[in-house]
Formats: sequence, C-alpha cells, structure tokens
Amino acid sequence: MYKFTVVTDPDTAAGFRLAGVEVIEVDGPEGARKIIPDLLFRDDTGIIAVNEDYMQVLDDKLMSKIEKTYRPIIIPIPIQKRGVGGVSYVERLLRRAIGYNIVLRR
Amino acid sequence: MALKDVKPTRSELIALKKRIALSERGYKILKMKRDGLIIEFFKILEQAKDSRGMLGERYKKAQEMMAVANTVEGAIGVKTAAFSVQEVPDISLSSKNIMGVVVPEIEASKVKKGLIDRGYGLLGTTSVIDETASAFEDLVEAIIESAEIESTMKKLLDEIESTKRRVNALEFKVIPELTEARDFIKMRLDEMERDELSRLKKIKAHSG
Repeated sequence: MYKFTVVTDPDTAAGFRLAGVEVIEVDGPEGARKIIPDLLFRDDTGIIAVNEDYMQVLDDKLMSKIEKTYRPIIIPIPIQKRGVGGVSYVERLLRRAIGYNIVLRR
Repeated sequence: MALKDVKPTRSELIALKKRIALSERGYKILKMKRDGLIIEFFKILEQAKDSRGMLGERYKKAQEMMAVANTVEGAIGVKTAAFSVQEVPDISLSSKNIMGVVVPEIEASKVKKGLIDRGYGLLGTTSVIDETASAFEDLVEAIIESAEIESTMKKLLDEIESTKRRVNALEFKVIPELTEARDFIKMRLDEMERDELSRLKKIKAHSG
C-alpha cells in the first residue's frame, strides 16, 4: 500500500486535500526543486504528482533520475497556463527512444 | 575482434561460421522484438493521449470548482473542510508483463468517497465543497490512471531503446566484423593452399 502525494501551489492544495491525498505546498518552482529530490527517496510513496511547470525547472540530472526510477512514479499534472510551452516530458522520452519527435495532440 | 587477432586456421573458421549464424539469428529475433515493442508502444500511446486529454480537462474543472468554492466559502472555509478529510486513498502496485517487459499496474481504492465518508461537517458547509471535493477526486483518479500509462510507456521506451541498441550493434558492428574475419581466414587458407601447391610442384620439378 502506497501513498499518493501531490506537490502543488497553495491555491490548488486545498482542493487536493479535499480529495484526501497528501499535499505538499510549495511556492513556485524553486520550492519544488528543493523538495522533489527528497521525495524520490521516500519508500512509502507510490505516485507523486507535480505541477508540470515545476517539472520544467528541474535540472537534467534530476530529470534523468526521475526517468529511471519506477517507484515513486512522478507524473506531471498538465496545467493550462500561458507561457508554459516547451517539450513535454513524455515527448522528450519519445524522441530519445524512437528517434522521432512525436507530438501528442488532442 | 581485430583482424590481427584472428588465427587463420580451419577450426577458427568453423567457429566463426557458427558465431555468424548465431549472431544473425539473434539479430533477426531482436529485430522482431523491437518491432513488436514499437507496435505495443503505439497502442499505449493512443491511451496516453486520451488520458492526458482527460487529465487536462479534469484539472481545469477542478480548478474552476476551487475558484467557486473559494468565492462561496472563503479560502478559510475551504481549508477548514480540506483539513478535516480523513480518508486517504490507497494505492497498490502490481505488475503485468508486456513482451517480457514488466510494467506496473496501479490499483487505487478509496479515491471516490461518499458524502459522509469525507469527514467534514455536512451542515457547516455548502454543496459547493462537495462538488469541489468530487472534482478533485476525479482528478486524482485521472492522475492515477495516467501514471500507470505513463510509467508503462517509460518502461517500454527503455526496453525499445536498449533493444534498438543491441540490434544496431549486431547489424553494424558484430556481424560485419565477424564476416570480415571469416573472409580474411578464407583468403589466408586459400593462399596457404596455393603456396603449398606451388611448393609441391617445385619440389616435383626439382626431383624429377
């Protein structure tokens, strides 16, 4: 049995608390960058959901570590926010493995 | 295997031929595995697209509900209700096998809760809180689903990558080198045979 943890901004935090999951509030990407490496070592956590824009500031070393670990599973929550463009994390994986850049569209 | 390490003997040639046959068979099998994995991967990709779309929608809805709740109940009211939720969703991870790749299967229980199980007082709050809670429960559900799909994708991609690397190593490195060594040995053996023949002829001419 594992826990579900959310790393998100204070505005959304209350909502996730209503759903009963564990929430770690961070103020902005900087805070997330500090907290995520520690979360990776927690044994009781199954899934960590992180705001997508927080994932984008993580450095490459940490990203490759996230890509390699299977538990906890770190998953970005897609937030529709202007200015958060760039290659999403799945697409990056795709390009590396298949050699083609596949754009997920819906 | 560098050419200078190859001993031009017949037994070496036989061994090399065996190795080439083996490598080629392995190459074919790995190539099929790679193609199979890619097909499997594209199936998952379809699902991933759907689940990501759903995740986005639910996030938006949850966000909207949150805004409404904040307006109706005030930020403090929402937080009060939020902190009184006791039930914690449980996640269990098991695994299943796709073409030799072990992928996780996530099962979650107690994500969706009834009104009474949520823990905050029903009388003290409005229905907006309930709706917000249920919107976020939906969101958590969507996240869990796409976590499963995404980690499956991750594993498949890893496997595809390493299979691809092996296929390429066989195709462009191992097999060409082995064939080169085989050709070299063949050439040397032929050469030695011709040497031997001409030597025999010479001896024969000398003695006769």
